[in-house]
Amino acid sequence: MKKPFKVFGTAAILSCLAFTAGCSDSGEADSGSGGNESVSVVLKTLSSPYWKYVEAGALAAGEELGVDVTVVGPSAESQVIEQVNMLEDQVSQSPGAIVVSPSQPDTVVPVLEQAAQTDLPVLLIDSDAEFEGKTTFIGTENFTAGQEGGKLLASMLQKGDKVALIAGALGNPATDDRIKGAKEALEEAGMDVVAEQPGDSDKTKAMSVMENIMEKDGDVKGVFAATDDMALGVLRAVEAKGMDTKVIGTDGTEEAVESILGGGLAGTIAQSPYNMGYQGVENALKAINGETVEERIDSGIDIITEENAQEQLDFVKSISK
Amino acid sequence: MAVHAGSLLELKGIKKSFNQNHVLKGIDLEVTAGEVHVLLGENGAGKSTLIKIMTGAYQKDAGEVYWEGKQVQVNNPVDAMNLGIATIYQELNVIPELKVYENIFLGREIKKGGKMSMIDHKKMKKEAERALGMLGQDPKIADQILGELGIGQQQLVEIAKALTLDAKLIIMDEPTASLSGSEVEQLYDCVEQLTERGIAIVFISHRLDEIRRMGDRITVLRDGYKIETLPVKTTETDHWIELMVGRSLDEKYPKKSFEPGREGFRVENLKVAGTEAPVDFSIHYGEIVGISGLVGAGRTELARAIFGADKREHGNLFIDGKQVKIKSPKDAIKAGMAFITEDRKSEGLLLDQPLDFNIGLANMKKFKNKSNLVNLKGIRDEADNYVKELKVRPSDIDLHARKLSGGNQQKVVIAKWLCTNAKVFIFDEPTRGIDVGAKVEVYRLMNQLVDNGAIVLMISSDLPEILGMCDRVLVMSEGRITADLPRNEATQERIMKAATGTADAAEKPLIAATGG
Amino acid sequence: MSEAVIEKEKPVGEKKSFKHFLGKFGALIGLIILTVVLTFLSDKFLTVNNLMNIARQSSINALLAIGMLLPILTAGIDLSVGSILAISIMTMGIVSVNMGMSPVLGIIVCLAVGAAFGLLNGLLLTKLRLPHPFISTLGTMNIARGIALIITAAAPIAGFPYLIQFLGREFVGPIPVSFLLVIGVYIVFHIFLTRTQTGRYIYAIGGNKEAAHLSGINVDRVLIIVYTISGLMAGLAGLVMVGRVNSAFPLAGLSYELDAIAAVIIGGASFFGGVGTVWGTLIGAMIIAVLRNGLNLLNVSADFQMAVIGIVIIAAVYVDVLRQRNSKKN
Repeated sequence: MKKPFKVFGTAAILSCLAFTAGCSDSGEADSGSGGNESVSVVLKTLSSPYWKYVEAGALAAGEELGVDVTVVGPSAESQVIEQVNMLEDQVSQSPGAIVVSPSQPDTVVPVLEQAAQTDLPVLLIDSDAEFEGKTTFIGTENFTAGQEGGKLLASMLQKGDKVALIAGALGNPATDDRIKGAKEALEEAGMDVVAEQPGDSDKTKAMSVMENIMEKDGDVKGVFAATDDMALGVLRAVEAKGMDTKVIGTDGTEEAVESILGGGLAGTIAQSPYNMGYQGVENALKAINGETVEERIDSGIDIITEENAQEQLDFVKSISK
Repeated sequence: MAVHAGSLLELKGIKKSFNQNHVLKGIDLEVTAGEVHVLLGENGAGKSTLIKIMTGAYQKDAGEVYWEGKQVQVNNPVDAMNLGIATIYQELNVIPELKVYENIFLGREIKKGGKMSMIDHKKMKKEAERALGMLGQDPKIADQILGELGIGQQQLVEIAKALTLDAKLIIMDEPTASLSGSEVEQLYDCVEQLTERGIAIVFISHRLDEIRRMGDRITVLRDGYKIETLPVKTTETDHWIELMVGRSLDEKYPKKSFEPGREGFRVENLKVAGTEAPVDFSIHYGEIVGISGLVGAGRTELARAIFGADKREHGNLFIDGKQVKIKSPKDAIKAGMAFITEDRKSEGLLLDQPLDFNIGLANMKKFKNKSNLVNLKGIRDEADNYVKELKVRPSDIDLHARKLSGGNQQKVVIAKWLCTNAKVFIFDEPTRGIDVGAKVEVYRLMNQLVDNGAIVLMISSDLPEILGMCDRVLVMSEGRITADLPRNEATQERIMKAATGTADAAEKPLIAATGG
Repeated sequence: MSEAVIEKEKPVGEKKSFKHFLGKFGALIGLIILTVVLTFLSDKFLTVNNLMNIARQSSINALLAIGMLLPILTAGIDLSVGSILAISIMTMGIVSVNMGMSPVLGIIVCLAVGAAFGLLNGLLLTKLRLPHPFISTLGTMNIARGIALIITAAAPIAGFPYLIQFLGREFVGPIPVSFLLVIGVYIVFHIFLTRTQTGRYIYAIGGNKEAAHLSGINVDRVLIIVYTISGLMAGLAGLVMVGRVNSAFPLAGLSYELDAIAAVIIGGASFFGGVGTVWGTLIGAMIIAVLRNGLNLLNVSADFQMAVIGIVIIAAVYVDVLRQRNSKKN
């Protein structure tokens, strides 16, 4: 009758924008300063603790080194094209350098190739991509991390014990490499790998996967999971059955470390997401300033067990504020 | 101004408009306790709007409302309900999955204690039984699932609900529109029971015979004005119509007789799935054949089976002596048949599409150009012609079908079929729910079709219409044709006998019926 | 022919009213407002480079959305487009990369697989008489995704031949080929829906299935065509995606059906069928793309973006509801 719709529609859209624009300010350091002294960091997502550590590292480096750092990422790791779009939108704002961690490594290559035409330094972190023009790759050797995890697990068990491997989402190269490393180490140590199944980096999924494995194979003595979230899911399934299975995770998240302290998880292979973020920005700045950057930078791992868990927890807490 | 002593509800100078459209232009109406007051008028005269103002569904723009002599404000349906005004809408407001008594107390369940306590099923059932008993119904149906009852009984359940609300005024919007003969009788009885208790009834109906039978007083509305209030007993039906349309109608049934020709359409040995016996009949050029019978006699099912809309077990169809194979409506249309369905809204029209879209729909091939695209201009021109020829109001082909009144919607459906150049027209309840003026136009159109060499078959539950328009009447009962009466032998009585199967009408209807 | 006509009838609604205008152009007005606001908020927004980014970023969803429009017009839905996209590009990858066969064959396989799964949707709906396409397409959504993962052992495939990448990657001047493709496809769909018999039948079925049936329309046949086209468009969207990122991965298109549905609905189509236009859908897809891009430029986090898009969907549909409520009164 009247015209409430137009008014309503306009108001809705405007208020949304105003609202979100307002929110965005907090994430950004003041952008007025030095022209090219800015680094855009595009991550797989920002919605999990692991990536929050990366973000924290990158922002800390920005603050310490006086660089304007923007960190973005889609709402889930599976939003691959969305990540490509975000990367594109960051490139179009011509930052001094780009730091990226691709969900599907090949997908970012076309955009990066375009970016490289303008001599924009590109640094990969966490997951590598086959992109010739990259400045460096900074990350954990996932295979090594898996190997260390396998060795740790083997050291807690007897020869011939049944063990299971819980992988990430099918086709995720990072988690796949960890599983490969762990499998090699476990088999070398004479363990009997009875199951290798995907848990999609999801706690609940991993829990039900583990329940099925126990149903089928009975007395599994040890489990290596490619992420901590999955390890915690596995642990829940194991505890529900009242079994004493050793569970090793990967990543070194706060929850996992707390679990270790509480006698839950047997251990975790901590990557250094914080280091990755920090080193990413640090080296990006070097590249901007024309300094040489190593082609491959290891962000390092830490083997966390009950003995050093408290130390790790203090560190994790200090950066996750 | 003083108010009459017996006045229950009095409306004075009620006005209502939507946008620039003045629907009610100052209506006065007085309803007294215990009377049946009929609102009569053509579609668009303002009856429904007036009712909605009484029930609080709409707000009046101007005017006054008095209830038992006191001025009141009816701002919403709850106000009306509190006063004692209940409404039975055409589309029943019930939940078929629930039991009858649960429906009666829906939303105001009787509790054993406070608000959060358990529902007192026993008490609700008892109250429901009492109300049903007051309407002369078997109280036991209170415990039945409502959906298992017929439409007529479901309606009575709504009336029972009104009784449990202590309604003093019950408004019924075309209550008999979807009822069968015996159900209508039940409703009449029920209305009698109500008025004896001093409850007033306001109802809308297009069926003049029914008004004569049930009504005490009539208020005629036309074009948003109240024309006159008159008693039913002492006035002529033709006078009502005159008041309603604003002039005299030459005839209610403008029947024209044509020279009967050769057989044009024949149905042979056709068995509808689920019926017991096959059906045979034929139609000649120059005649209008009607199919009468009670609701549920299988008339619509027969028409759908002929048209290929539903499966049939077996049966052959002939047009001009040549057999036609019909497995789907598409085949039927190709063979030159048209089916004007009973329910315009759910089977006939695309309500949210413009008139030209609707009119061109059944014969899109006709409008394809060389490159196989649809010639939109062609459809518009043709639709425009039909809209003018059939006097569809408003005559704007860009209007969505939803915006038209029932009579005008029916004209659009007919235009759709005229557009297919069909030869055999099956009309299923062609005048249900449309006003007298539009009815006459539909009848004239049938005459014209026959005159132009088309075959017309009309299914109707309106006996006067069947008697008034048909050259021959087929009567159906339980899926079979139980009588085939020529015009001069078709009487209301014979048809009813054949329809209810009370006479041995099946074999020799003429002889069996002569005595009665 | 007859004098028994109601003489003084009023036209029921004014035809070219403001409401009418808003119903037709509401989404466009929204897009324009959005563009103006974003231009003020970010100096990078209204640049040729960025507009071309939007054009490219919108193309995959625009192609899925135009396919989705058809089932929605028939009062149905196609939940499987994201998964069909994935299986189409994975089979193309197997044919053209793993097996090294001709890229032309790969493109044909990609489109054919998409169409075949669409056909399957149509057959499940019409021949098995599954009660609602929500169910049949929910089934194929899982089937297609599952097969895509199985046949590739979940591994991504990269290194597609140039011909396959052409649509998603090349430019004509500054304009991405994928956007030109979108415009071309939309024009074809516009003609299809407004000027062909089948196109008009699609509206008729969505408006009133029974009336359409009784008007001689072969409803099953039209529905099968509708879902097949939707599947075909998923294949085409996949082809563009592969070109854009030079790789195919089995989780591609995950939950893309939701963005496609959102575009169609924001574009003014009714979930109850029979109402919706090609250009409305394009605007719907553009609104989503502009919004995402604009929020990215403003560095709004992905979580907030999700919430904003949710609000826009609800606001757009609510505007539509108000409009319809107003038009039905009276």
